[in-house]
Amino acid sequence: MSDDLLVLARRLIKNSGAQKPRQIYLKRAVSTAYYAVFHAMAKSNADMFLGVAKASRSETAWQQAYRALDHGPAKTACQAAQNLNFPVGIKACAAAFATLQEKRHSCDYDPLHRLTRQDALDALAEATAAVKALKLATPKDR
Amino acid sequence: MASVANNFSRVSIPSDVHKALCKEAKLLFEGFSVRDVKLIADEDHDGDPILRMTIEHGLVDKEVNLAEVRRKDSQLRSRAWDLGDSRFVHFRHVYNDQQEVSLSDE
Repeated sequence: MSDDLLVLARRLIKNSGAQKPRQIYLKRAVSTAYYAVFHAMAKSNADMFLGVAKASRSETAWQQAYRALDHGPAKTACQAAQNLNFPVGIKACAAAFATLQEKRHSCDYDPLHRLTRQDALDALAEATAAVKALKLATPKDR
Repeated sequence: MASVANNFSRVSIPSDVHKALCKEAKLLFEGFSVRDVKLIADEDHDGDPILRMTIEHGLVDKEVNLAEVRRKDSQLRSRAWDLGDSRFVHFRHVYNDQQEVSLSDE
């Protein structure tokens, strides 16, 4: 799901308009970029708990583990991870989660919040790098 | 970790930390035409204490690599921690409208 969300975020930015980008497209792109990281993390957590192979795990248990990721506590843990001894990729992914969550909140709930095209591209770049880093991380670090 | 961060609440930034972080930002982004650096103590949407750094850039005649910018942001976060401020730092880079950016260094 996270890869599809990244593709969608990219399309939203591309279709936002060249001269004066439409805010709603840019805001939805940032929000979508956050959810790409959120779902990548949810899947990673569920896979670590219950395994990747569908045949050898309970799908109901996997689904529950996937849905157990809570935005607030996850953000707090991701912020704390910056000062722990994690590999660079994990730290970058954790920082992206915290950073993008704050941006998503502004985009989704603050009607006066304004974005530039570069802001949206920045969020997309950060989310893309975060999802990639999580996929490349060893099971021990995930 | 949260309890350590919460001790800061919305306490202002110690002047030596503020000065050091702004100076470090200007140094790190030397090739990125830094016009202005602002650093404030704030709360995020959950009410947790954070720092917000806004870096305004002038137009640079090459693409700004956003992956490189992010790495420098990360260095600044580590610097804040080294200086004794455990609040998470949120960054916003404000570029010239005409500035070209690239998404990764691949």
